[in-house]
Amino acid sequence: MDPLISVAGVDKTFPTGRRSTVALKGASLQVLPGQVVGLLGPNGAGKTTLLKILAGISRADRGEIRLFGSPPGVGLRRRIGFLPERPEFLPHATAMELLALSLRLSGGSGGEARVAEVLEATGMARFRNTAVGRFSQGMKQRIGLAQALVHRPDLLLLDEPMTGLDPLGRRMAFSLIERFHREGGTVLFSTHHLDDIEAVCTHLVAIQQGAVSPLGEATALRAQGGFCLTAERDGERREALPRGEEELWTELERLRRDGWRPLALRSDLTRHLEGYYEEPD
Amino acid sequence: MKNPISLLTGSFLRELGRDRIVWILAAAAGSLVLASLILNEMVVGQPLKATRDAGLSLLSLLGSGGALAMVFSLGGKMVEGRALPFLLARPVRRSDYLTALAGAVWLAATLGLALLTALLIVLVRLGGQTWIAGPLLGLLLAVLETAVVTALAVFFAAALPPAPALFLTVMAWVAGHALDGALAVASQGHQRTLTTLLGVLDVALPNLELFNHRATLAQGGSVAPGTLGLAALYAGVWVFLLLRGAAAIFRRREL
Repeated sequence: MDPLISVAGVDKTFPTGRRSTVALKGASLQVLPGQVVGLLGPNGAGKTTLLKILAGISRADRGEIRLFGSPPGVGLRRRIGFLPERPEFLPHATAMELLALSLRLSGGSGGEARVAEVLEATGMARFRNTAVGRFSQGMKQRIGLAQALVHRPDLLLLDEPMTGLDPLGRRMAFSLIERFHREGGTVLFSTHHLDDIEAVCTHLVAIQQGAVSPLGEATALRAQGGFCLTAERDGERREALPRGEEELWTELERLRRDGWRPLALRSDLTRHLEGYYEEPD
Repeated sequence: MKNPISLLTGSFLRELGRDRIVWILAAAAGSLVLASLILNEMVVGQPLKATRDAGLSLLSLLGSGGALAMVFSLGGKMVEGRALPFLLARPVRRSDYLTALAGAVWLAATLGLALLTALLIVLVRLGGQTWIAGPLLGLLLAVLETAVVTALAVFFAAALPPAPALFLTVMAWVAGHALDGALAVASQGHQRTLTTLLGVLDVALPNLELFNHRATLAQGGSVAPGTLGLAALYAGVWVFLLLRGAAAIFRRREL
């Protein structure tokens, strides 16, 4: 199967005063159609830069990029939905006007009915006539998702889509991404929330200091790991790594017997992924 | 699919129409024209001269000033306010955005100038005089000058952050009006270096005095069609060059 996104040896440097900051260094990545790929990495790792290059907002200094099998071009952007990090829009435009503009610029079909459908799906229908400049960050994030989806793209590029969303908003975003994926769409998104990655990703990619490393299928990674149980006794903490549910119950029983108090339970995958958010030495 | 430039121009026009700054400018223009009625009492023997002079000057000043305010207000929201990425992720070229920005600002300014001209004609008519050709020619010249000043503002805003871009645009506007006079003074004083320097600036910057025929129009005179045609051609060439230059610079700008 031909990759939908193919990035090979991409470099990107930003001038910062007299120095320059390396955002991407030989970054290479392939995303196949139908995958939901989570992009992990600490702040400043290059996630936003990579997404902006793919969305056509920024240009790579060197390297090869292909989207849908072709070099990136203005025409291809109608097949892409992009949510920028902490999105901002024309402040006096209403939600309805903004989505209508997004739809028409991308040549999408359906007109007002499609706009109303997406507003409903993102929980923003009752704010359709409110100016976007009055929205909270969470509401802007919802409108950001709506404008990324309104023209029925084939590829979604989402930069921190869960930022500023309340629990209901996060659930809505998950369900939109899942639905988009079920309907055959491909997603590449960056996030700091590891449970988001566990919830929706089919594949994982880590990005550190501008270099990209594919981690593989999320299901395989989950299968490798089990749980990570944190317990406390007299101010001392320890972690246990039971491999499956049966081992987990046995471990819990043993810890309680020895006077340990269970504090937190998370999957071992999350614990494994946390390593990618540690700042490199 | 509709042309992205026309879609963006429509949205930007609507955005400008809802912006407080446009209405403040319109109110200021109307108030100044009305205030000129009081000044007429001080001009002996030439009824409504102050209103005619002030009205024609305001057309030029508010066209250029309004264009500057709108370019930096809307452009600032788009670039510094980070509203641009969501548009550029669509099938929209950066040059489309700049053209739409310039087009929307110019159209909004033209609409404001047309209303001001109508107010001027009505006021003079209420004063018992008929004066129509003068304000209409003044409007046409102000609209041409506003197009060049808008393109200048877009050019500098494409290259620089708002504060230095605004400063350079104002400097270019001042130079555009003052260079002819300064050049004449320097050449009379036989200052060769200064004359050469001013001559270079005269070529490198648009000469906005080509659009200034206020003295003639206020006296009830007219402007030859050839002069108007030349001014329109001159404005068109400068707008084209400035927007092309802005697009070339903005293509490389990190957002």
